[in-house]
Amino acid sequence: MKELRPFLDQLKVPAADESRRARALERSLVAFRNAPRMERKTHRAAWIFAAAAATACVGIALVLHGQRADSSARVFAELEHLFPGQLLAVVRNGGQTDVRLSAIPDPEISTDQRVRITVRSGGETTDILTYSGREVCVPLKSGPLCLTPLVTGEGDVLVLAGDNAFTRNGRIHSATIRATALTSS
Amino acid sequence: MPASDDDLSPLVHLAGRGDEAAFSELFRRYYERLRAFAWRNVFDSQAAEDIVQETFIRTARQMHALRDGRAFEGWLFRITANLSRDHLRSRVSHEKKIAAAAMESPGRQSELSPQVELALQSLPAAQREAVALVYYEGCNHADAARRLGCAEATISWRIMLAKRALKKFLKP
Repeated sequence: MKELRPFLDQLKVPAADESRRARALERSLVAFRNAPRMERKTHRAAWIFAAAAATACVGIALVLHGQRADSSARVFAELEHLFPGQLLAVVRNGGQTDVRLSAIPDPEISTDQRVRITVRSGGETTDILTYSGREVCVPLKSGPLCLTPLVTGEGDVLVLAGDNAFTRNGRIHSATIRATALTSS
Repeated sequence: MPASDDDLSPLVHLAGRGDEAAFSELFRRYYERLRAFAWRNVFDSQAAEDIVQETFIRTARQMHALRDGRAFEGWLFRITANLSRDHLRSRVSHEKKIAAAAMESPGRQSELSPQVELALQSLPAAQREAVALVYYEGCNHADAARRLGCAEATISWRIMLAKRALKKFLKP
């Protein structure tokens, strides 16, 4: 990197906006006080998404009611329909459902292959619905775990997690992980 | 530009138990570093600040789940990197917008180095993240790998590719 250093040193990060920094701290503290049940979102647009996420929780509760785990593809499709281009992942742990939405709609999001990942760790089961190629981080009791599923040409799911990579089933520390591609509904 | 801070475990532990002062201290320690990291990925001041704010909000929500203080820093950078990628992914015609913004805001040019910025923008997001961590954050490849959640060899490979690409900008 030596020869590049003078070149890269020319890049100067613009000064921080102190009022935005103060606002970020204030909002983070609101989220901190309300953790883990509630979340206060960031900017004006995010308030809309917070409301949307709440709607999604109601929606998913309705969708999930009376349905079995093998209906994951349908659940995901329902939420995609509710939030076109915004759905990033649905994370279910115990009775809690976390619907993760993109702040800005991106038509490309929903073109990727859908994947279901089940993580079992320390007696808790976390169910993740997301897309191939998208990293999802989940807070386990043992610490956060980030996974990136990739659907192969053969329909298998390769899971990347840190230095680990495995197909379909694997184990990371104390967590067992199972990943399957969902068929589009 | 330390690659890693001193042991954060006590602070992380306190914050995990709901101590606001500890969380605020973590915010104070990492806000600027994360903002710089995000900016070097997205080259948009407001977006970088939004990304860091969202990083801390997500962190605040999940502090209680983090048991290992040593994982905290990597966690923050990984969330920031993911949000930066999301931001870039959602931007339509990113290069065009940057070019348009540069033309519309001549003042912006004076505070940046267009050539370096363009050079870094030309890199794929993964390589840019690696350069931001290894060069600007002062991480070694192993630290950068931990923060981005990939193998050390992957970082070395990305840096090698980035160097190759950036050298083209040095040629007259």
